[in-house]
Amino acid sequence: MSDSPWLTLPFLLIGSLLAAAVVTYVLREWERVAALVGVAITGFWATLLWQVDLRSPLWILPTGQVVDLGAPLARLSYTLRLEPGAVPILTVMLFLAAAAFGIAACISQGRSFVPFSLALVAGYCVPALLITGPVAPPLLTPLLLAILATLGIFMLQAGRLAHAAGPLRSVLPTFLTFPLFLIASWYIQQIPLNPQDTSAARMAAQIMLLGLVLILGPVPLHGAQAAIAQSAPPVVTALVTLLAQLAALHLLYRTLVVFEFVPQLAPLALWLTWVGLVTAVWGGVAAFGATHAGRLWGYAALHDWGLILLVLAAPGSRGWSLVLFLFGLRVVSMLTAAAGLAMLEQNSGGLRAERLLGAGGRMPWNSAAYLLGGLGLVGFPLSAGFTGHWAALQIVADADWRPAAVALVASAGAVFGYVRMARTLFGPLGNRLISREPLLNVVVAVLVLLLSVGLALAPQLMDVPIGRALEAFGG
Amino acid sequence: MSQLSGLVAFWGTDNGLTLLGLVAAGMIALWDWRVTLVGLVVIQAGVAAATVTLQTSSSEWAGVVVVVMGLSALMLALSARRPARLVSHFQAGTLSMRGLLLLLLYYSWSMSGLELPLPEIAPQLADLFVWLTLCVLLMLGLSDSPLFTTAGLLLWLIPAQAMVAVLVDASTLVALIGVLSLMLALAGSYLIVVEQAAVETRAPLVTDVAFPSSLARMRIRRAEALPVAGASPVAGASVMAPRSWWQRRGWWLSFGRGWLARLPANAPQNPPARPSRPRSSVARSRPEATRTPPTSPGPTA
Repeated sequence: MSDSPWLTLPFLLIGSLLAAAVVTYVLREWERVAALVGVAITGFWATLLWQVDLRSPLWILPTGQVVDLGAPLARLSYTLRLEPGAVPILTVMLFLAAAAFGIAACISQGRSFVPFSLALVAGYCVPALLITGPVAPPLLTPLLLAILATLGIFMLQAGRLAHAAGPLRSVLPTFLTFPLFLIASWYIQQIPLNPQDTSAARMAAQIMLLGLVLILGPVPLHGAQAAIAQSAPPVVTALVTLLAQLAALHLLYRTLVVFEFVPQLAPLALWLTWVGLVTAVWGGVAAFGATHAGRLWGYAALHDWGLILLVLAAPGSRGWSLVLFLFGLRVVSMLTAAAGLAMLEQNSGGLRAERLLGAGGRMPWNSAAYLLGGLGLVGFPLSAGFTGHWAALQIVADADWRPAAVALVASAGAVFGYVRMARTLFGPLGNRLISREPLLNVVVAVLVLLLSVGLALAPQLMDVPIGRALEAFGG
Repeated sequence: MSQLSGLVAFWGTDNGLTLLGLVAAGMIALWDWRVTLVGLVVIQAGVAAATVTLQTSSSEWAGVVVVVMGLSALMLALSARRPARLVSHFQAGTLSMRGLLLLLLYYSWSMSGLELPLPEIAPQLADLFVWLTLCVLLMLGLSDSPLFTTAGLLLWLIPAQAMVAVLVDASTLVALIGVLSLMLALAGSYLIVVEQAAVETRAPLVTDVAFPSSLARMRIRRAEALPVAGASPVAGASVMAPRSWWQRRGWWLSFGRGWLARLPANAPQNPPARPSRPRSSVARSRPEATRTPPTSPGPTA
């Protein structure tokens, strides 16, 4: 046991989130109250961390106790501390959770959603804050992510009597990856013993390359995305998917920073280009044939993720700034679509095309939110994702125009899928049991639509957060 | 004590390791939840013993991982045994198909000479780990069933635990992987229960790994839809699986004078209907062939 003080920022952050998880579990019968408690706690921490100045790292609590923001929390062989690089990751995670809870306060996502999500967010804070462990933190992170992915199974199933393919598949990438990182740690320990011999470093780089590619979940490990989008509650799908992908991106960044030999000794950029291209194409082609509204959304998100992987292969900070930009737009688009989809599912009783026939006439605002959010994921003009996709395709085309052209054609397939879905939604009414959207849900849909359209018209709104994230990332 | 140490040493021999590989293959070939869960514990115990013998890992570590795997298997068993003989809708073909796949996998492996770069691991143990990995991939590829996917992932954790014990030797990491195993087993148990409670709203799809001959024998049980707050009625499935040849013949139940056959879980699903016993002593005294069957109350003219 170490002598580090208990009252540190990691303890307060993780402890308060876990305490809120317990409280909201008790209050889970009152879903709206639980969701609002979730909004309050995550919103509070997100705002606080966004404004934190690590140069004057002292907080004085109302009780008079002083919290040293830079003080580490050391227990067993693990040390947690707030580093500048962790601040944007924590802030994005907490804002994301607050937004999801805000939507869940208006549209039920299951009674256990809020408590489990708070525990999940607390868990995701651990790898972001971890600075030492039995092995280097980037090598330990996949194991922590595997534990968190397992916790996510309960949220994704959400008590629904649906086939469990999505939740089961969602744990595969992390489970397959973490032993690879632990084997790589042994090779890394051998490097200083014989610095002239690069064989250990080469082997470690190749194993970590395989692990990094697997944990990013490209095709053929993509099965979870479409499956959970089909069966899980939409807001839960968005939150769990985005948290896992943000953690994977952070892991990639930390690995490349800590182990600089990995991109030098292993063809990481080449692999990312290929898996990104295959993922983007597969997402577009599958969306072309998808008639289930949730599955279509999942494939559109897969296409967008493929484009992010393609951009990750771009060298230097230019690639990372665009990745962060794309991810920010992805968050907005996915939450916009999730808000609309949740309402459509609740009022139509399902997301199959035959149930949604003519639903747009009864729920125009939420249908518009679903369509615009989904189109943002494929980079359709006047949607939130357009500027990001256009910039990404330009960067990819700078190196080689052919992958950019293929990705563009694949996005056309996904756009076709959405055009067909729009015809279904705004066609003749087929399900007369669909009720009209309540006023509160109209307000939510209008808000997310405004955000989405606002980012489409003024993408420079993302400059400040991206700039701060880049500073923290050291890009 | 010497018997125990002899048993531990056996798993470190070539015969012991081959037996573990065969148990893993048997789990896939038989595709039965009892065999799978018992096999998981046997493989975990065997790998732990072999690691202690060949790699000089601590026996305390071996005890902990075996207990964790035992608890995980117990959790899965509690969920899997609830409705007797109800198995996943998502079956993995027939015994012969799985056997052929195993043979194909084994010959592909032996022809390719695949070796993983596992440092500090004894070669014979490394070969077992490669075989277990291939079995895991086959299990994951064959079915979307929660039970077998969870079992496959638990099987994947067995070599991972052993490698961590040899390469990193950090007790906190062992604890973390133990937590992961237990959480996975808990989640798997939850999904098994959900799958069995699910409602069948569509006919099972005939695919290349679910042959029509198997499906023809399946009886689809239509359960009542359970109301779930805020949930849409999504299709799941629960079906009665055909009894495989080794279950039909019951040769394995005869071990131990058939005690296993008398367990409630193994009782026949539809026992033959007994002829109704006449109430009056006069009727009972007549020969059985002359008795009139009981008439059902029908519409009267």
